[in-house]
Amino acid sequence: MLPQFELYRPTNLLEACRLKAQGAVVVAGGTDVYVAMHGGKLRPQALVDIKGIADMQEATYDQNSGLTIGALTTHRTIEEWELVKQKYYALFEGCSQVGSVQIRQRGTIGGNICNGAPSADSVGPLLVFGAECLVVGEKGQRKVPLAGFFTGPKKTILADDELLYKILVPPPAPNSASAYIKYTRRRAMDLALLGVSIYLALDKSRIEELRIAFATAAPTPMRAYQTEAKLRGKDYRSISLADIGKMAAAEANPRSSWRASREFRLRLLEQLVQQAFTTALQRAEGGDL
Amino acid sequence: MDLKVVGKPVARKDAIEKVTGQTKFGADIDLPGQLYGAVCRSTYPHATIKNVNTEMALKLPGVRAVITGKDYTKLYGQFIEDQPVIAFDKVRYQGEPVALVAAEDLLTAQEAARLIEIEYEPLPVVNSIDEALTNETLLHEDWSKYNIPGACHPVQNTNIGDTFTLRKGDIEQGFKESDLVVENKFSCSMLQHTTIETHTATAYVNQITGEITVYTPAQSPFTIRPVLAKAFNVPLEKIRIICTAIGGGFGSKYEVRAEPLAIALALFTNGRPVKLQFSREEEFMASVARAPAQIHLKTGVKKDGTLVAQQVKIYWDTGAYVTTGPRVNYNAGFAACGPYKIPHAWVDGYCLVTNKSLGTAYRGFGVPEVACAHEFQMDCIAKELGLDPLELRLKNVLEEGDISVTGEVMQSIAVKECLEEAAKNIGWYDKPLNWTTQDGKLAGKGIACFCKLTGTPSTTSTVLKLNENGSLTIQYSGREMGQGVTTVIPQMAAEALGISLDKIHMAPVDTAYSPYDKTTTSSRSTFHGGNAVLMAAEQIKEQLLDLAAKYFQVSPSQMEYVDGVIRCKGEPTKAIHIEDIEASGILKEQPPVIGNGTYSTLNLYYKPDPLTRQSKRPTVMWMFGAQAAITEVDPATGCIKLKTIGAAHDVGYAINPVGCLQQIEGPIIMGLGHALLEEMIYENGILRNGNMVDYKVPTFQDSDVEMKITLVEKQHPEGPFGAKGIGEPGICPVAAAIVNSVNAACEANLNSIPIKPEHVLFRKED
Repeated sequence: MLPQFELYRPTNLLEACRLKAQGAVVVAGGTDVYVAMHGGKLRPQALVDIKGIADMQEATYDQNSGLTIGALTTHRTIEEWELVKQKYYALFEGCSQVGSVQIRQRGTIGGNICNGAPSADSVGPLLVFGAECLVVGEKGQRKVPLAGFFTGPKKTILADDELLYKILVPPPAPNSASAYIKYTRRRAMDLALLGVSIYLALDKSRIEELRIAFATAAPTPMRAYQTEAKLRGKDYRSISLADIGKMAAAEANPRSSWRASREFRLRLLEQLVQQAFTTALQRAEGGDL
Repeated sequence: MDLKVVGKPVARKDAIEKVTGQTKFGADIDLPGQLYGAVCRSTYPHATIKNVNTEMALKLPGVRAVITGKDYTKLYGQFIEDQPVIAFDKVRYQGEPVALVAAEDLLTAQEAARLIEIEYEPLPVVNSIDEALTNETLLHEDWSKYNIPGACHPVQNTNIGDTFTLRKGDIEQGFKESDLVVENKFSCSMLQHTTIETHTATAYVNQITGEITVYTPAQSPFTIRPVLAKAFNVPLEKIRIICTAIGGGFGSKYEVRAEPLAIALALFTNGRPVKLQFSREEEFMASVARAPAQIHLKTGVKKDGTLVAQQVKIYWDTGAYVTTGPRVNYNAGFAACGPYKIPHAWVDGYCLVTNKSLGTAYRGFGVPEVACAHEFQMDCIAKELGLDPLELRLKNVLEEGDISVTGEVMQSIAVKECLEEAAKNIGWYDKPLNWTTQDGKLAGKGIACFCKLTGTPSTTSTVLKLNENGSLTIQYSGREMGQGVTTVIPQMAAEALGISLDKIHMAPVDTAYSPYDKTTTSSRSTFHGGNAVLMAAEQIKEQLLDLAAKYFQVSPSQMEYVDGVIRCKGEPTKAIHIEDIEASGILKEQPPVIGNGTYSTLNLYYKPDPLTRQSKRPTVMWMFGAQAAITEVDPATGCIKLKTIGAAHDVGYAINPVGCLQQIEGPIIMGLGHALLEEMIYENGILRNGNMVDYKVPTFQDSDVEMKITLVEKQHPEGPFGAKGIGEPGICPVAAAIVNSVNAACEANLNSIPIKPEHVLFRKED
């Protein structure tokens, strides 16, 4: 049973920021917060439910600026959005594999990011699409690259008064494709034991752009920058898949826990990078996605 | 026999009520004036309790009672009385109750429980079988201080809470006569029953009579009644157990769990009822579990595959208190050599106590675990000898008239048929042991069989009441927990009396008026309840014949009861159909028509010798079955996919064939969880994954397994219509078959469950 708490339901963004600054825990879909409260791990005095803030619900696409996703957009909305499937397939793959339909119906993309879990399904895809976060606080707003948003497990750069307001995702190149591979023990209601996201833009067989992101491979979601840099500009036919896997896995820093050992995660990472790369490549060459 | 109701697939009688949400489960009970209970639980897995301070909790407005172990130092237990209701001197597992609170509302109760301050002095933690075996730290320092009301054999100055032995022949001689001796070990993880309904009880105490009433979703009200009566020091009849619908049992609701806690509180609330319900976290940490097992096998075999000798040692990690461990040890001990002819067989079983949640009854009572072990061993032997795994089994299985490892001449045995049918159901004969699929997956086939006894002796009574309108009420205490007993029992009564199924109702189960039934476990209800109902039906018939004879003014000997027609022999006009009994008037102002039936297996039971377990008849009913599996393994990621299960189970006679199929389909998915996903992970006595995300029960997305099931019907001479039990058999060979198929696919010898992808990638064999 949920312990007692005060509940605030502001419709004004700045009011929400003020409540958060006063120590209220922010709740959107509640798929993380309420679970932690039920389990006794979180006992907040006050919650601020931000679902009433209308413009945080909006999600739009513009061909010049790309996606503008209100932080309260649910995984289900993204999953069912045809445009996301057409242009940001990895994001569709990420959001459509969160928990179950019921959880995706409640859980929000902003919540998924702010929860700060290294396993977040939406974060890897957003990282490889070069997403930025629009953050709002009592003193105004600022733009932060998503890649710089996480400072540690469950820790973000958000100041006490700040909320993640919108997520901005630039349009992908026309000659690009993406893939997200989620590795789980069971096929629903599970957290990523590992996740690999890839964005690949090709100029014939030359890798024009490559971005790789990992879930649950380090204390925070991460990019494999060195591998990306090494492969950028190369002819993909000149590189062995196994090498890409090894190179990328070498950048990761997973830990051993009762969930899985470090050696297993590293071994798996090599494989999943290869699978994700191959999938993205096939999609790019196929001209779709 | 021309049967009209049994043998036909019928809709479950409880289905509509359940799917429309009308069924009242334990948590639905709300009594006027009720208080809410909360449990203050130990944060340490092993510690001395130095002090319990309840002052702050008592001050909280709305709190009506706070009790600690000091208020109640009596110990309880079905087999051995080793467990306190509330810990008083020390705690032996994380989550053990240390204090209880009753308050006006649940939040207040929970808040008060948090305010209780406990001073502990931590003790060294016994986390595993191996640690327990060193006896460096003893959980129970002196077993001899405990009262032992059941069959339980602890060993003084050790962590061994129970021992089991089986001796047939001369094991060393057997190994000498063998061409090959194979030694292996197999481990099974700790499992949660993960019933949708957590443990719950609502209790109150009559302030004048002292009668204790408890509402509970208990599986076995007549097993827990004496335990509760003793624990609370009242005569048996002063404990009244009113059974609510069960939201999932699988053995977890066999023992008392929430009941003693709710009753203990209710003794301190001046007659106000106390409702207690475990949260999911409490359920994982501090309810019950399937004990982890470590099984060592040494098998001697001839070159041609004939089994000569088998020695099995089983170690159960039974948790902090012995609870049902001895019964698991016993049932598994009898089944540990599998359904095979083995001239020399030794089994030793040990229940070891550790600082963990309590290992107790779980569907199959230890047989799925030993089946994993003996069937893994059979595959290892087949590999060594270059034999087909099915062929090796068929060569050794017990058949009609063969002598079992406990010296019984086997009858009504269909293991061979089950193996052959299960094999056919996956196309065994057309497939190699392993192959590579078009998309590069490693595929393999595996097969497993088992034997399981039903608890004997036991007794079941029923009362059948014919109502004035010709409808029938059955009083019977077998509990419906999804297995379909409240459908098959009426089916059998309908068949016997010719009454239509929709006119037959099951009375609620309440120890105040329901007749005795030992327990709803051990797959025994169809067999025992069915026999008792058929006996009761005969009495109904006799009484009706008497009444009709009076009405027709003939002698009762001239009357007969055929297909629901009460008639005078040779006089077709003098007949009343049971459906027209009300209109006939023969029931008006007559003594009530009530039939009693009691079925007991006491007389056909030969108590096994306590050392050798040799017995002419240790059980009234052996259950047999086999399952074959096909799995595919991704060599890159280690992911395992169960593709197909072919099953064949000897049900004796299928009273409700669709129900039988469901009782096999469900456990196939349950067993998939055991084989590949589920484990309670403890680190130094602390449960790491006590939630539904980290403890991985298969979801519907994981359940797309192709299943082909055959019901083998070798009628049991003493079963009602020849029927046997099918509640547990479905689970017994699943994990074993999956393990064997994975090992075939990867050409590995993975010998622990769950098999995880990392085991496949790194070939981690214990």
